[in-house]
Amino acid sequence: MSSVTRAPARRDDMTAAWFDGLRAGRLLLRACPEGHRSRPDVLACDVCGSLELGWAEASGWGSTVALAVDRSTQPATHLVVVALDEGPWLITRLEGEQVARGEDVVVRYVQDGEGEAYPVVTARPADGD
Amino acid sequence: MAAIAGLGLTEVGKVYGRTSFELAAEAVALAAGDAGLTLADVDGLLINPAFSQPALDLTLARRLGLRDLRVLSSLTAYGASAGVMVAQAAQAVDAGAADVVACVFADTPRSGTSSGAEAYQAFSLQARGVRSAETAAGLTSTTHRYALAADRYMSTYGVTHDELGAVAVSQRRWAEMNPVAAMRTPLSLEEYHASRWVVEPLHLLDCCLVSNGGAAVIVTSAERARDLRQPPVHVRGWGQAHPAPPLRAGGSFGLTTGAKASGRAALAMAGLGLDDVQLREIYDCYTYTVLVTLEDYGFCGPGEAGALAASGALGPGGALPTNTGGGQLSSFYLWGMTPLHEAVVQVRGQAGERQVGAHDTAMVSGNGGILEHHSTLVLTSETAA
Ligand SMILES: [Zn+2]
Repeated sequence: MSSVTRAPARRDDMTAAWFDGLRAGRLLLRACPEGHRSRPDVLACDVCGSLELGWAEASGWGSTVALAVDRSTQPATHLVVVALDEGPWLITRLEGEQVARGEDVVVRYVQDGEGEAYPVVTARPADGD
Repeated sequence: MAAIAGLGLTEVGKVYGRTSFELAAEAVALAAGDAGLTLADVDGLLINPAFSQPALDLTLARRLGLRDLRVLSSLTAYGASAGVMVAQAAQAVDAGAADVVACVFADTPRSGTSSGAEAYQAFSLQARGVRSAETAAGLTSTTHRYALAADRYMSTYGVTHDELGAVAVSQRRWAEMNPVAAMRTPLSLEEYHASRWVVEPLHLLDCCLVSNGGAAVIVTSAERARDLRQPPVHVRGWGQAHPAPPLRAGGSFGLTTGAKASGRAALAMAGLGLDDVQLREIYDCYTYTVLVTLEDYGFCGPGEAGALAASGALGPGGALPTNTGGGQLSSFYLWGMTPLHEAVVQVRGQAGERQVGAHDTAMVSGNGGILEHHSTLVLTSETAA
């Protein structure tokens, strides 16, 4: 068992606004004039192809699509694909209580050392959030 | 129509003290010699650089003394590159842009002190933007991403680890008969299950090897190939597909790949059907990749390839011989050159103990990125229907 050296999250020009949002505890997605939501690094809307993309805040709620476990780290790292309620999928890790595929999760924000803040997810509390 | 007339493979595996450039030079010279040609006959060169430094670039041509090239490019479609290079070489030959095109790959991810996984991990750690947030969250390698794809596939279709393991066991049986293969000792399903998790649901024996080495092929016209030293291997069909499905609701992540469209295109160009395919040389970065590719090509329905593997159909004596040299899992890992090399050896009828009886038509896949890029070649012998 060895703890993995994880490179810090680092912004580039395209994702500066996204990382600013994460630092402030907000998950932003690209938003087109038709109201579709896409992942933060797209150049065109996933749904309609529009190049007119702004930013919109996501609810931070979603459900898990796939799970994997890296046991080479201490503690083990639980990886997840999360279907956000707005449509786009987020790939990150699950912290705390385990969830099954298809169960609800909510986005949290963490920051390691000098790196940018980035999103992780936890099980969604029964009373919403 | 174009044909593969020469095949070159350097020593592969734990090969130390040689750069990618030296390995590539040797592979090209071996391929030309295999065809009965010299480097002076080569007038086209396609180069697929990998990740470890120094990575191949266009200076390979000058340093190899190839001074009168009419076609020269460096290209990448990651794991799909070998099929893309051969297709582009065939098009150059068909168009008269060049007569003898060498396609080469070489990589040196391993060192005396490193298994090579770090060289691939470094690629993930260089990320910026969204990808770097994923890396920071724990997705520190390609295997982490494939583990998520495999989990979606396995949970959707109920595919078991016995079925994934059957791919590893089947390919090891082929590798036992391949003198080039790194892993030639028999493998049991129990040993597969006992191998450590790399990233669950992927065991160590679900993952490809990491190898140093170089490989090249020579593509020329079918007419010229007939006059050369080796039996021609005709490049009868090719296809590419880069579906890049958005990661969002309704997405096919993990369930299907570009193999579907590229396989269909390659067979249509070849004027052949799936029933005509006698050999399957499938890009096998993971056991799971073999299963999803066989399904996308249409050899069985979605979610059915695991049962096919468990039935023994893919192994020696099976109805659907697949990865007949042991593949990237048990033989060596030189990206798409691994399945391409074995296809050429088999179609020529030069596979020795592991030679498949009916070997006129082979389907060769390449898969790059996280199931994002796909290439297919249909290769046929002189006597193919
Ligand atoms: Zn839109």
